[in-house]
Amino acid sequence: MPDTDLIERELRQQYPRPSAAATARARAAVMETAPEPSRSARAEARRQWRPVLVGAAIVVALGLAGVGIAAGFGAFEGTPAPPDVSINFKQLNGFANAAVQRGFSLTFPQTDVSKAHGVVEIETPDGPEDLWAAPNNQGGQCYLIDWANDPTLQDGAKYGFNGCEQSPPPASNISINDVWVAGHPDIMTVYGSVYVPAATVQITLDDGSTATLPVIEDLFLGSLPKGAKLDKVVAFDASGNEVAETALRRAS
Amino acid sequence: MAYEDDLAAPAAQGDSSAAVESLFDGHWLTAWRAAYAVTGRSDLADDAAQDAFVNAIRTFASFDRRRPFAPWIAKIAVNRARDLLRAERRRKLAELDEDAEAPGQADASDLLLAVAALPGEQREAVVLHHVLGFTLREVAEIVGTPEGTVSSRIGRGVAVIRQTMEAEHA
Repeated sequence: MPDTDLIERELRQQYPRPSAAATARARAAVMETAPEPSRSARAEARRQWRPVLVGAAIVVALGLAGVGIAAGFGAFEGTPAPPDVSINFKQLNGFANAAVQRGFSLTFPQTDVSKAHGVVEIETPDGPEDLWAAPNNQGGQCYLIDWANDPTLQDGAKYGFNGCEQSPPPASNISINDVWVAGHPDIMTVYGSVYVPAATVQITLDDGSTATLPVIEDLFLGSLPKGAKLDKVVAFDASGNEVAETALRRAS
Repeated sequence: MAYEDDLAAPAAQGDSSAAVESLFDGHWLTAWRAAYAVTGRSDLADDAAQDAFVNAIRTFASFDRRRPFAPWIAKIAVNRARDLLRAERRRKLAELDEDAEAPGQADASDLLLAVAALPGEQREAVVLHHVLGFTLREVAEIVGTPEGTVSSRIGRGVAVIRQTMEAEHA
């Protein structure tokens, strides 16, 4: 007879989750509800560094001793996107269309789904975490971050979260985001883009500790312990010269 | 609690869109699963959880910010899901049973089917406690039932799940 702990573990894993489309709709509705006075200035500031999140969430883990670092550097790059990843990108395009139809002032790019491919895979306590990317019609890339072992949603899309590079790039030439998601409650994911040629980024936490991540196709991905607070990010070229730097602007 | 309740802190400092976004990221799944535990239907859970979040943000000023956000949003989602389910039943009672979607209907595991088959009150309590990680006291607050009653609903629900699983694999 199965014990309660086993039932609980299995239930948490198997219990249904909202579709990416429902999550995107709810996100848009909820964000429309955000109080206006703070929406304008704060949201504008966030657009400088935080990409659009669509779909279900996830988390990062970087413990300076145990930062999630690219596993098999380059081995994952170029991997063709499987169908569930492509469907997720298609849904991102659908969200962009919906945003236009709803009169959002911020226009979202359209992704070339046929060119979706793997960029980097890192190891996390919850298993491999993948970054997929595809070019968009604004001259940048859109991407999906997911955990390799997470199930495909009922609508056929891969469970994960999306974003797109900014156009034009931010003045700092680095965009970075740290995301915690309910599906992986013990991990915080840190990811972003460098808009000038770069080989690595050095991430500094508010306690002064640092970690270095590779930049692949202008993108980087890392995993931090939950609760880690980012302070700044510095990008370096292949010769070790600093090429860009940004301080994080936190909501609080 | 399984989730990061201090995500409510940014919102307490100014109700900014960034804070709202953090709340959404941190608690959307909780709200949706709580609603799904009541309705057993994805479409109703979508609407209930979305309505719950919109209402929660609109009324955030009334929220006691010393308390964790997750049980509060779950309670709103559960209540909204019950409202929607009642309205749905009133509109098309005869069709509801035919349309009712067991969790993960098409590809549901024995475990999910066993949970779906539980009486609604037991299913809600089991999901809130064992899936979403709320304490017995929090579940009692969310569903509006004494803690002892919640405990016994969970106990009975889990016992039925065990028996069902055992029978399936006998």
